[in-house]
Amino acid sequence: MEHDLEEFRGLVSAAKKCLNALILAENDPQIVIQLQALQSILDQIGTDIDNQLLLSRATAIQKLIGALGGSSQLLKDAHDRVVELKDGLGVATKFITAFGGLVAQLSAPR
Amino acid sequence: MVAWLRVGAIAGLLALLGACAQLPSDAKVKAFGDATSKVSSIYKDSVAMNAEMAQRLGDETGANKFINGDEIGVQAAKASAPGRATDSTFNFPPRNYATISGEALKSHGQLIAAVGNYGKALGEAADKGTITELEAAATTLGAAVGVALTPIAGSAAIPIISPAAKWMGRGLGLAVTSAYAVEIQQVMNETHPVLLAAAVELKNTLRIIKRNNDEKLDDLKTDMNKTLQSIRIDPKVPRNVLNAEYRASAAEYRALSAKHDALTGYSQILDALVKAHKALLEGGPDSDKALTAFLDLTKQLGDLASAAKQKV
Repeated sequence: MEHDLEEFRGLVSAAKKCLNALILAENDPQIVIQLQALQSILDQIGTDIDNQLLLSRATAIQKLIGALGGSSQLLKDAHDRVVELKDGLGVATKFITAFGGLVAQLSAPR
Repeated sequence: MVAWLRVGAIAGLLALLGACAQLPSDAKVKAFGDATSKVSSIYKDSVAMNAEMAQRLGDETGANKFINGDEIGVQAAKASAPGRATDSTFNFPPRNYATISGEALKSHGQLIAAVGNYGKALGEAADKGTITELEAAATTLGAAVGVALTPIAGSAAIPIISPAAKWMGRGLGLAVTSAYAVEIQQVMNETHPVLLAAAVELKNTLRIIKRNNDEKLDDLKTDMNKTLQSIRIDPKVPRNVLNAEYRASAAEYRALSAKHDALTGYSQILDALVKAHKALLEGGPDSDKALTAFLDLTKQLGDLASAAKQKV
């Protein structure tokens, strides 16, 4: 299907090139206007095919989006854990400092 | 005494362990992440260009119709609907040419955003600031442990216990950093094939948009030529007006071409992005080269796109 669309799209491209050459060569403004109308129609056909080709990749792309989202989440989780650990170490330091102070007071000669 | 020497040895071992795995250079990963975001903006500009050219084509053919009058169209309209007023067939505002639809591009735009988000997450994960703070916190904890243990161990142990505990803390910090680095590298490793597949998809997307833009630009060049021709053949149009029309058309075409060139290089950016990611992952001697090539390319194309925007 995709291959057929691509082939047909190639024909449209070739037709557009020929048509533009015709427009440039034509001196009658009235005929140029008609050829430009045809140019617009060919552009519409070509763009419709392009839209179809882009839409046909949507499923495969959604899978990639899911995988990349998963990777980003893993990185964020790992980073969050490091930040949490850093904060936890700060709390532990405060606790141990207080504990050390208490031990020092208790073991001081009376 | 021997026990404290053991502690010191363990701390040293931990420090060595910490040196085994390293995070990719934070500055490089950050630059990679920033540049990945830039890719997204270039993509958006390229899609916007498609809509802009569709509009310009509508204007150009509309102008040609306005200048020359669509006599054939008028005759055809008269034949199909006799009795109706058909003195003019030009429309204002003119009808735009077809555009690549937002619906067709939806998932492709989301994929670009997902690549950008991954780059951002990678940049944050490799932020050296957090790691430095973590290592400092671990060292401080070690020192606090040393101070707390001193009254228990006795004054004779002070010269050994304090540095040993400090090194233990530092070793712990480095070990955590090392484990973190391994985790980040693992994620990067697993993501690499996905990034590669995403680049292939996006290159295909861009090939389609580029082809559409190529053709629209060619149509526009043709139609601008015809409009200029129509003005020139009119003997009543003064030469200074002809000169001004020609220069305005030339400037507009050049600006659109510059934008189009920015889109042409997009494919190279995606190749370079994958290469830079691989180089960051492997950390080999070529990593700097690949990253610099990618950043240079992104900057060049970004500059080109900005310059083109300013021209229009």
